[in-house]
Amino acid sequence: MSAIDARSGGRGPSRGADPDPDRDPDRDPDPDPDADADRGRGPARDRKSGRSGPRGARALATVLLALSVAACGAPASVRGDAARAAEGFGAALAAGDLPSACALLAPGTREELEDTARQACAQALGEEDLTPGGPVHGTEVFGRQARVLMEDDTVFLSRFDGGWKVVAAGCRPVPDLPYRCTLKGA
Amino acid sequence: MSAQDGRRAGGVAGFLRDNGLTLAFGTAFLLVLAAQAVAGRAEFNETLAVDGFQQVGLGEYVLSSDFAVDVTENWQSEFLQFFLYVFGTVWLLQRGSPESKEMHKAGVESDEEQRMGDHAQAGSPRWAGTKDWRQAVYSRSLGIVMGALFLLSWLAQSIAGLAAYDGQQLRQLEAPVSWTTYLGSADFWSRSLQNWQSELLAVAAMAILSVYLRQRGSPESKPVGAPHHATGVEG
Repeated sequence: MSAIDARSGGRGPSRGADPDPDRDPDRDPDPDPDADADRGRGPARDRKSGRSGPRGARALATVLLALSVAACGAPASVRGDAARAAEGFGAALAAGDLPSACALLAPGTREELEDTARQACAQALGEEDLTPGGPVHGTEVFGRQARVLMEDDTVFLSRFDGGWKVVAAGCRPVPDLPYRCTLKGA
Repeated sequence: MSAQDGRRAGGVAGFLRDNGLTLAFGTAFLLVLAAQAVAGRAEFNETLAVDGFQQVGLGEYVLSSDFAVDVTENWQSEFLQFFLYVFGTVWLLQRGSPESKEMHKAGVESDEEQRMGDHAQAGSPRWAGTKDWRQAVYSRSLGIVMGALFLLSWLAQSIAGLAAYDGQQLRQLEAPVSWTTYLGSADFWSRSLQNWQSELLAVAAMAILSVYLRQRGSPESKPVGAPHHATGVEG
């Protein structure tokens, strides 16, 4: 398990005891069929039988130790990096610095934006109905994926070689479905 | 153990001979685990590539929750198999199977048959000769340990599975779920049940096939010439 699998409270003022947008009254009841199409199965599982021996006990103990360490929480620096990237994206939008905002987009998201708008990223981004997210209320990190809950937005990010990049922004929760996002990859 | 069995050869060759079964299966375990990591990473990266995410290196994958859940979901089912088999064969019999006790021995058997308490012998484990909680614990220690290993590895599966599931949720722009929610999820139970059914099938198949089929030289089989109705006889 990755050591960065964890959730955290926000650095800004708390929105309440439960930061999960699934339980957030600010819901958009309109499901997004495009987002639904994004669903896919995860990696298939290995499975098998046969008898293993007590030798597995030592390896099991090692795995349990690693899991216990991971369960204790992700490094604050990792969560902070994701939160800062989301804040940076919002700050760039607020300042009208669209080239900087484009630089914080994940490759697939940027490509989808440009392909859909048939314009360069900065121009296309300027036509999107995006508002700066404001203060961060909470950050959850699992592996290379993160969700940052902000005052006025929810942003999904993924970690690339160049750091955390915005995968989707302008996102609103939809009950039992993926978020409906103004900006996202294909 | 006979005097012949107890005679140990010296040196490396002797060590290999005395521990061949453990060493062979232990080595094979590590090799197959490594191969699983290579194949699992390739499959995981295919998924990431399709969705436009950064692919991961082998080291990162081996430390990931995705690899951990795939490993532990198999481990828990193996220990469950042994736990059920150890306890189940106390009471459940299969006529003609070397995996079963003789038909009149169902149950925990007497202290004399089990060489416990006053019937402990010179070579018996020390706790077998006691009459208190130590005897109660030791007389169930194999099943207890197998059961504990099952529960621990199932717990590990649930923790790793949650992290992997929540990572997938985020890739799909969905909210992560809590551990308790994950315990009721289709993903958790699908991973568990598909392994359990295969273990139970393997045990059932071994119990009945060993009645009629033989493997010369294997202690898991009756002697080749043993009759089909002979129960509790190992080769």
